[in-house]
Amino acid sequence: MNFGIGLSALQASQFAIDNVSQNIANAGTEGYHRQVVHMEVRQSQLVGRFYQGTGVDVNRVERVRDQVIESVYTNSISDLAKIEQQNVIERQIENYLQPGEGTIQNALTGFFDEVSRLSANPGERALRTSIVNQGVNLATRTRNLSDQFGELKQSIDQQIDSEVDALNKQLERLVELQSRIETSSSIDTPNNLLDQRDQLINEIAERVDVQRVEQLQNKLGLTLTGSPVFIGASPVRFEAFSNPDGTREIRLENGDRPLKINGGKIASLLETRNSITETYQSQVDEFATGLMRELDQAHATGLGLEGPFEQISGSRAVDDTTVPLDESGLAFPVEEGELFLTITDGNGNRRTTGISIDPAIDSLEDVAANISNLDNVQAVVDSNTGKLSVFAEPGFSFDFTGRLTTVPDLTGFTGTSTPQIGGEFENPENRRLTVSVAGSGTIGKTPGLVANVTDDLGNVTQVEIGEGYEAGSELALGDGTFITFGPGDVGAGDTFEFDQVANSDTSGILSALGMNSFFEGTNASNIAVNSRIVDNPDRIASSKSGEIADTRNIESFLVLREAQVLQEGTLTFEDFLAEATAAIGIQVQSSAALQSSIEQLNFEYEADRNAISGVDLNEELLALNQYQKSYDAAVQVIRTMDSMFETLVNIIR
Amino acid sequence: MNFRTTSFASSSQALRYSAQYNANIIKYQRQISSGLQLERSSDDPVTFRQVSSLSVRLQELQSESSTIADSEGKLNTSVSQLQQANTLLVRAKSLAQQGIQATSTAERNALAVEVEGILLSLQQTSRTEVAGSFLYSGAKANTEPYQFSGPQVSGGTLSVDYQGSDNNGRAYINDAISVDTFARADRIFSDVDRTEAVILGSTGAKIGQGTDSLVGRATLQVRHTSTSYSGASGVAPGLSSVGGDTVLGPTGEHTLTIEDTSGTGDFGTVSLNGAAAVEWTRSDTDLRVVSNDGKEVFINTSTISVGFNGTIDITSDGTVSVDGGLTTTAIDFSASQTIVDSTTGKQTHIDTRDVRSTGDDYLEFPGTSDVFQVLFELSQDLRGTRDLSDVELAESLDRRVGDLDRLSDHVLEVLGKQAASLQTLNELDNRVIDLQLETETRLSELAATDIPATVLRLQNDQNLLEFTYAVTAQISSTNLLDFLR
Repeated sequence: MNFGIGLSALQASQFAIDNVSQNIANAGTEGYHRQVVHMEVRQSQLVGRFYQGTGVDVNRVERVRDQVIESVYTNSISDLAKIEQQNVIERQIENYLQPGEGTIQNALTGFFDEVSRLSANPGERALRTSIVNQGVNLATRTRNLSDQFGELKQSIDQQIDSEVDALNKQLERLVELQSRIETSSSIDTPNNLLDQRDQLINEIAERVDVQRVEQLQNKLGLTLTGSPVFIGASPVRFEAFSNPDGTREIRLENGDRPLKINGGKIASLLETRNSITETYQSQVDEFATGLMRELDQAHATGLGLEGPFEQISGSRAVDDTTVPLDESGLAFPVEEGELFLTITDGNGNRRTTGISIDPAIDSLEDVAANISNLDNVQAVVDSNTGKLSVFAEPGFSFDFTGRLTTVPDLTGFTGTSTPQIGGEFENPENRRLTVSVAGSGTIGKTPGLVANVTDDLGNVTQVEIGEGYEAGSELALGDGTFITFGPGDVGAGDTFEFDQVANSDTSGILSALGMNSFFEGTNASNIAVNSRIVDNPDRIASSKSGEIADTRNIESFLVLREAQVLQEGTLTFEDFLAEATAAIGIQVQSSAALQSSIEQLNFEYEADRNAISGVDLNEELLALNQYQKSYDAAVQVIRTMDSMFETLVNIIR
Repeated sequence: MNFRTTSFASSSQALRYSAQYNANIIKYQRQISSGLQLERSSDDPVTFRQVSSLSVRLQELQSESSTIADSEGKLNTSVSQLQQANTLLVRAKSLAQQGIQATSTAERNALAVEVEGILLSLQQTSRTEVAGSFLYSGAKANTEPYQFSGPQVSGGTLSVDYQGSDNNGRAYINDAISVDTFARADRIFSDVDRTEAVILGSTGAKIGQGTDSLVGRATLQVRHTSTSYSGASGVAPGLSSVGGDTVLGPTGEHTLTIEDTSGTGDFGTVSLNGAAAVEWTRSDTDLRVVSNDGKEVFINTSTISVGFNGTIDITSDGTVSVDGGLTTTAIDFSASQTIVDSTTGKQTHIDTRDVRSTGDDYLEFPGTSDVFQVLFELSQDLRGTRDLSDVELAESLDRRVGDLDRLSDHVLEVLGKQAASLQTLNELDNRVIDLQLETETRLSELAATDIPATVLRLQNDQNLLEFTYAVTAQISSTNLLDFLR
């Protein structure tokens, strides 16, 4: 009689029941793979001429898993973590660009609306204050938006650093775990340690893309960020690196090349930090610089209620006042063109003179010298601040409106009659006119006396100034301008020239230097309403003359509202913001759809994994029932053996 | 594929779907509560973009509507004022016509009083203000359009100095449509249509060749400067000759006939232009000699040649002035002399060939006076300040009627333009209101929550959530233990 068989059955069943208990206990443990006890028949003994069984042994405990599904699941974790992180940041950007009360969109619309209202109520000073307030609001919102992007980038940077730190710690744990696995593997399969390793790899996958290369004897190779990494004695370490251009990248510690990270949170953080956030922050800058450049240019060529200036200083500087403007670090690019200054004397007589600007040749000092060459004004460059100031001589004032010269330079005019020019030039192109008297005689008296007006294209207009002409009356020159000849004589060949100016700054230097600008600052982070306008809203350049109901310059602002000046001349300011909002909306929607799709895949992979490796309580209960019965049967076998043994002992007694 | 199903799979499935349905329910609750279907761009980027554009457009339209309303207010005031002005001009014209028919000074004075009242009313009209801004100063809306003062020179017209802007004040409805809201008074109350100048007087001056620039009225002052006598008569200008001689003309136009009746040069007779002879003696140094038509010369006969008998030619020079003598021009007895008013720089051309005597002639430049000047001139004529003959007065008043006709027509023309602008604004306003309504409707269609549809979706998701809970509970309650018990 052999108790051994029953005992082995008893022990095996006990082991199996313990295994079932372990499965049930870990049914909800993340990363746990159900384990199955495999039993084997003990070696038979030769009894007589027969081999007789000796019982049962536990052969091994198998961790039920499918390597392919595990690998696919790990990849999907990486993909899901990446898109989840991306979606979080994109939604944050969407929040920043969301229109509504107190947003940049509202501030912009409010600003243009107030400007429009001023044209209908030019006498209402409260509207000027309101425009300044709207401008301050717009500048503040723009700065806030820029700051928000700056803070977002900073926050992403911190998250990148902490994620890399966490990744390095995980890799250290992985090395330590692998060491324990390899040590334990010499005795038995360390299923629980392997579960921990699988779980750890999945956690690493949440940070970077990882592929496992499982090897014999529970050794492990990993492909991290596309590079094979052997998990050996010392852990691989990563570090986050800041490039001079402000972008971030991940390198192997002491490495000199950036790693191409395709999955996990870190991939998403890098992509949103270097690309998406940068793109939208650049768009905010493009909006701000475009707004300042265009609005300031329109503002610079107008006049506030204080009229022409006796002195004005630029609000924007160059880095070097002696090098050509192209190389001087101007806030906005300047083109080759002309800048017209209108200088007014104490009697209200104006003369408008142009100076040429060539940014490839002229430095700021040169521009100042050219302005100073004009009579009655002086330009000074402060080499410390890099800013330009223009001063008028006492009794004179100046502006950049390009208004018509009233009394032209009569150096080439011998007559006693005084010609004057007036009107409002309405042609979109600048023109220079030459007026020459044909014949000589008395204004308004000599029959057939005429003056020829020739433009710079050679077109000639003839005006009668002899008999039939009322001295001092207006002779239309077209495009809203006229000329008058006062009483007196004119000589044959008497001539003079004057400019008809539609655009008094074709170079764009006024906004680049911030002369008579509405805003000051150079980008989205420092845009502000010019302090001289905040101090006195009457300085808002609504006019071309300084007269209170002259709203001609307001038209320039309103034209800007509809002008396609951003995104290479394809979008208005309002459209630009709406497009940016729509673009991030599309991006978020697309990411959300992708996230949903990956979540679904991940859910399915997880379901597949659970189908193989998950603990089914019913199944475990059945197994428990089965092993319990085996246990009961084994006890019964032992009891029977015991009874048989008792019977035998009783015979002896 | 292994079809093992675990309780973990069941619960995670339940969690997943319940989270999804809960999220939807919250979303529908928000949509119903806020009334807005779209809250974020990512809800529906394309529609959200449309909503953004429409919202901006709606705000623009509201701004346009506000600008139109403000501009309409100003134009309405202006149209009303100009209608009133035109009524006054029609009344003034009627008064001028009554003046032509009037037979007594008292009657004309009464008419003048009413004309002066009209002048004051129109001056007040020119100062019309809206919200503290002068409506007729152009862009200089904070300055009174005119400064009125009496005539600068004797016989001149009312001095009307336009102080407003050379530019109209303009309101911009949008970047393409603008309307002039602050008009220039000098373009409303004045309309120069110069016709040939008129000269009234007896100096012999006529209107010369050339185009005048003087406006309104002026007095042509013809003054004597020197007289000389030809031949060897020995007669010389008297002591009062410079200021007293009234003859003017080149050599030979006036003559002096001298007879030395004493034969010794001690006394005799002298006559001007063949008029009755006047006795002279050697002691006369300032003898007044008058012609039949009242012209006179002062002569000195103390040096008269002994025994001289005969007729000698007189050369008498003078000057003309239109600025009250501030500046004078020597008469050259030509067909067209240019005379400049030094106070305004404006000029007129006078034919001085037939100027034969000194005196003040009245110049009129029809078609050049503005409303105020015409009314002033009308009142002056009715009060008889120029001492015109009845015929001249009637002709002058008739010219004022012509002026008033012209100016009334011009005011009506401006009124018509402003009324047309007002009508255009009204139509534009209607259009803007339509567009606002259309935009709001479109916005509502795109952005507002479709309540019934959303309620149905909400109900659907609530049902699904309940089903999820129910089926999960059912599955969870069914396990082997129940059977084993």
